[in-house]
Amino acid sequence: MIKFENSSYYYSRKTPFETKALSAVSLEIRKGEVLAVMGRTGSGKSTLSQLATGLLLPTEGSVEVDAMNTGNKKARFDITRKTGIVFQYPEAQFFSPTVYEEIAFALKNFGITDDIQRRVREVLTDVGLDVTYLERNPFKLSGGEQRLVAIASTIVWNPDYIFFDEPTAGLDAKGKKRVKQVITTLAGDNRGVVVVTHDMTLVRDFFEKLAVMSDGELVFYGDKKEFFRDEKLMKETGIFDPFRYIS
Amino acid sequence: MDDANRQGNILSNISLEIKQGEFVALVGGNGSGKSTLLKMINSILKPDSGEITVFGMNTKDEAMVLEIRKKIGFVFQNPENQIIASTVEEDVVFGMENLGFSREIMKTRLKETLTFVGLQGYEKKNPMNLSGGQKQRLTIASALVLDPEILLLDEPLSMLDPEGQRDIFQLILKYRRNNKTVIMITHDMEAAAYSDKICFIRRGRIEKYGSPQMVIPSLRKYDEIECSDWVMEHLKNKGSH
Repeated sequence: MIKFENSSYYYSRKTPFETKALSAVSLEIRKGEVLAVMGRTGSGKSTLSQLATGLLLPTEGSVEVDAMNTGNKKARFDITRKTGIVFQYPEAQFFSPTVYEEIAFALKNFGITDDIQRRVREVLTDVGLDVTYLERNPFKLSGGEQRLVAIASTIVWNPDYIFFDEPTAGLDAKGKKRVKQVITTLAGDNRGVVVVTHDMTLVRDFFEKLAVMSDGELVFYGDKKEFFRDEKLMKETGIFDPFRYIS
Repeated sequence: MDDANRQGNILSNISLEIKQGEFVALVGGNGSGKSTLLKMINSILKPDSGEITVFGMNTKDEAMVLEIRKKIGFVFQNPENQIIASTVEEDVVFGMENLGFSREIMKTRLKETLTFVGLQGYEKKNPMNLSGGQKQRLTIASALVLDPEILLLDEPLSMLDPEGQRDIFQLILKYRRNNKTVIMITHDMEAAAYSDKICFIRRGRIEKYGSPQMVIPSLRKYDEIECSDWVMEHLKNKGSH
């Protein structure tokens, strides 16, 4: 389980630019659970993912991954191994000349040397890309294809908790379907999946559990149906179907 | 348009005419050739066979490239890839400085454009401290300040939160009211439903082209297209008015 306990995070702490990005959030994410996180840009969603994966450490409160405090330096490798994050801009996380090397990198980095070829091929197929992509340059793929490669390069080392930052942005319906299948498979495999998204259709059609952030605070956590019934809270948190209110 | 990597064509046999003042939504699956088509209009990419003309100017004619680009504004999916200056005003006037506009004109246009996109008062702000929606407003301002006749948009909304999506889309609709041409790539059929024409590209070819009422119902069978019931209802209402 990933446990946030009164966790707060400030960017540029003790400088004139100090910004509170997360405010006393308490939250538990269990293995096998699938959670959508929504909220305005700057509401703290991405900070939440980065705290959960140990990329950021809470300024106040604590974050634990399977009872290991993310601030514990000795636990850092295990936490990194147990958590994975797929960032919003896939090209930002690429640095290899081929898709194969890109996906294989994490395995090598974690010292996993068995069956690298097989694992890379399998995971590529899992995200809906065929093996002809292996030798292609990830920087020359379309935005949607890059996203699928980014997902593959994260799930390849089988982390227990995976955080997706806008995984369907820029994907066509087929790609979205593939992402949903990947999430379902991961959850069925007893992994915790957290998806930060603005995609209303995705949340409506696919998720059950929803967390909503506003100004760094967790303002809703529960059944998405309950949230979508609360028009006042939807309005306050800026969550609505953007093209249905065009004047 | 050939692709050396895939050893095939990215785009094949495209024949298309977009009239001034039209709003065309380019839809299709990932890797179908939509972005390539957009880059060819702006002469970033040249066709390997056939030709593209913009206001009668051939995009293959190197002598015309600058003139073509003066008529076109281009906005990409990720605003951060397009912002280059350390203040909002510097970013907006960058294109005008390059083209040698006078200080007076730059000042007037900067003010007008920032007002148009709703960023007045942000002149001295660091673009990197803006929200996603504000950054996209800025890239649109930087494109519009040169008063282009055509605005090319490559999924300008997909990274934004709902408020950002609504606001930027309203901005795009406001811009095209002045008889300006808008060509926008989108996966969102709810946005595409507002266009004059939908161009559906599949495997590098134009599969369907026509009004949303005509095209959208026929797209529901393709697995790369997601079409909500709201879209169908919207089209029905649009048709009855």
